[in-house]
Amino acid sequence: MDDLLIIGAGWAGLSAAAFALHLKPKAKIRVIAQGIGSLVVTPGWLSLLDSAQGEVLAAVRDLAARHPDHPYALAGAEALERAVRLFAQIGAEIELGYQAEPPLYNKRVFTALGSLQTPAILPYGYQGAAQAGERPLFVGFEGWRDYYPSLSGEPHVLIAPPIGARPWDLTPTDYARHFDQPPFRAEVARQVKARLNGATSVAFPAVLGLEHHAETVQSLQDRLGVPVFELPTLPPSVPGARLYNKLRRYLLDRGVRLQIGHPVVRGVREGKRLAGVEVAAAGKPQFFGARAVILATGNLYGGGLFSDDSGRVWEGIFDLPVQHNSDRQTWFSARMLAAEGHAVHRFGIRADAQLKPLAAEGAPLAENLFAAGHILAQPSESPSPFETAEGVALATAYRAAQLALTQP
Amino acid sequence: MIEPRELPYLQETPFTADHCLKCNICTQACPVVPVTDLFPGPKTVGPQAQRFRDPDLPSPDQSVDYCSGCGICTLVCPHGVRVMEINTQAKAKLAEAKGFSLRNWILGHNAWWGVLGTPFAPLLNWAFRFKPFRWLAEKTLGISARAAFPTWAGYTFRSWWRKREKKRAQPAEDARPVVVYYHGCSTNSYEPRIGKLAVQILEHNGFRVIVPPQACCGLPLQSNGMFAEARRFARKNTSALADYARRGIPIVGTAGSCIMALKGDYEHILGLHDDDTRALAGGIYDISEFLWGLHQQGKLKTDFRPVSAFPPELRALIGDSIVPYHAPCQLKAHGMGRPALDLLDLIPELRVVEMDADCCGIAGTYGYKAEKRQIAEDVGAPLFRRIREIGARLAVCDTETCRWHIAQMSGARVVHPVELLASAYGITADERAMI
Ligand code: SF4
Ligand code: SF4
Ligand code: SF4
Repeated sequence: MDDLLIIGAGWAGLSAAAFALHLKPKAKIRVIAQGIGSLVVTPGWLSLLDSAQGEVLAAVRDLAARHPDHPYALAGAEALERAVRLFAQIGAEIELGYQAEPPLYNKRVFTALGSLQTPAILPYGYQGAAQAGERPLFVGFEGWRDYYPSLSGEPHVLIAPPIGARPWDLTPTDYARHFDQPPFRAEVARQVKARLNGATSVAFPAVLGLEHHAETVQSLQDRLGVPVFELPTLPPSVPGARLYNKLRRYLLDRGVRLQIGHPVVRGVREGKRLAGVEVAAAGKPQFFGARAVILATGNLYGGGLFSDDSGRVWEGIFDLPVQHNSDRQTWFSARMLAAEGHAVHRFGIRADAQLKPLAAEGAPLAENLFAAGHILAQPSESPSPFETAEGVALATAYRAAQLALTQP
Repeated sequence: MIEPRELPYLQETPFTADHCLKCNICTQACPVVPVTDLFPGPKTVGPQAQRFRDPDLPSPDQSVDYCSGCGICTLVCPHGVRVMEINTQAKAKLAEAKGFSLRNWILGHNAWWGVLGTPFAPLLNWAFRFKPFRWLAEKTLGISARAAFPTWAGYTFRSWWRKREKKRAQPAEDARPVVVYYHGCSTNSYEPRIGKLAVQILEHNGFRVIVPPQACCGLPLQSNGMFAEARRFARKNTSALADYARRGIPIVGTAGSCIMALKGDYEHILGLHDDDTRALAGGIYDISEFLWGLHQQGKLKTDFRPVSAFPPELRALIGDSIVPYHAPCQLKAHGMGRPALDLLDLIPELRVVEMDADCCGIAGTYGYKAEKRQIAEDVGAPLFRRIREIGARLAVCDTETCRWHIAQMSGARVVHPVELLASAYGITADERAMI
């Protein structure tokens, strides 16, 4: 029997596992997820409250006060700060950056389409954007269909590093693996340097190394003599993959069981508690017993919720009621990139102040089941869930891990 | 019980391609993609090419042959696409269109060579280590001269078992619960010691072990595209063993990949959907899965001695090091967690750590093919490097070809989990002896 079983391996699930390790180093922790989890499709930075003007943690506290049913409010006032401090500590250990010493202020980073985003905590690759200066140079690769630097900004150049016979077929990860090799970096730096033309910084798509990211950024900066930074690419996201790979090793080295593949399909109840969960494994269902369970399967995108064309929306494992609009006409805003997001992104399950998911009668489904991340519903008037994406995941993961490990 | 939910999937392998979002997550995770230009990756050869595959026409895509079948793509896909299974079916189509390959036929029939070679063990073991012979085999057949071949034990597990049964007085009344042992052909011909240890571990835990007639799982045939013959092996096993499963008698095996073939591949790759196949799939266990299940019910004997009381040779190999554990791809495909690791954690003073490598590279017979040998070595390189960095001289892995490959490439001795469990229980098996 495990002390803690986490369903889902996205931001919320993996960070819940890492936080649980810190809260109780001897705990037996298991993560079970269908597929690899959402990290590899996110930009790899941490949005806590992108529209915050002043200190971000204070702005989040303010948001929680205004929206008592927001996941930030459910997680409690202290959760986000503790979570980001711990995350920064882990980020340093796995050599990916993510410094987060309060007071925290949002940073300005560039996107591949030339707009700006304002997340609060960044891995190394995005940090150089702060020193972009007057004249950043946007670099792309000849023949690559995944990134067009002219969409990011001007001036831009296309270079032709040695990547084999099929440049069009490469994924961002393939480029990142090339950048892990020092001779490749040197050749890229040589080609860019020849065309710097007074640039104050150089922007690359986010492919600067997979295993040796910090070293890659550093060596390019040294060779080019100006700040270097990354722009998020099309998925699969390399910054997300770096974090996933390093977190995986971090967790495995510390004895966490990480089971990617077969989905949890149901909970097994024992009175008012869950005895454990059942996985749709090969041949026969497999039962995993646990003292506490954290549900971190995400929303409609993460795979925690499902919908059909009648407007029904349901939760896939425990059949928890989902807060949603059944009129599909109201699910989406008129504009795809609407600042307020889309109503459909707020759909989710409801939980009490202990993050225990509520069943149809309004009482917790089980005493030892907790929810974290984007499976939690977000109130309609609050900021777009994208503005708080990683912050909500981390804060609720921290709080859920804390409650799960201390419940009787 | 909370009511089960039907997951909204099309379950049949070829149709799972329709769930593909083209996210390329599988391409990012595929271990073959980064090491060769010859393979465009799981999304391309799997769900994408599937749209052009007519069941009545030959496969349009040749590069699918470079898929090793490791199954990582299927595990990481968040949308339930059975990518590896799609690829394996496409490879079979391709093999059919290409016609007979002597090399693949030889590799596919390892079950025969195991048994036929047994009487000639010394000669064959010498020949397979004799460089000119291997060079010739590479040049004429395309079987890699670098790949590690197992050694014939010179006797089979089954013959040991028969002798032992004959010698032992059968008690008139035997109330012990029964388990069937499924040995697979590698344990039978090359590593009988693993079978001997497994049997004794089960007996130590109060079971009566029986070893009814059984066939090779057929996996090498399946992965070399010989589906018709693989199905014949499958049928032999399902008809020989399904009844035990129906009677609630567990079937327990030590070869992680064979067990996976019986648990899942028969249905999802070979397309067998009959009752016998289902019953067997539901009633067969990997030995660690079975023992860990016992432990969860409080029924496993835990009279484990600490590493300091292990046989000196093993103790020396472990030293002060952590022991790296590689969960082979075929074992991850079970969806049963890491029962071997859970069990080994019960042994005092033993510190086993799961490696983060996805695949060791060998993938059954894949790394034995000359044109794929380099790929097999490169795929496993991060794992071999990590084992060397740790300085471990002993590692653990549940499947045979992976063990041989990791041992050859990392220099560590690589054992099956039952070998450590047996030492902890104080159980031994003479390596060479029939008795
Ligand atoms: S098979 Fe799965 S992981 Fe691969 S591209 Fe399609 S949806 Fe993504
Ligand atoms: S089975 Fe393995 S080698 Fe084949 S496509 Fe999938 S991940 Fe790649
Ligand atoms: S997987 Fe097992 S039974 Fe099948 S061929 Fe290999 S050793 Fe034999």
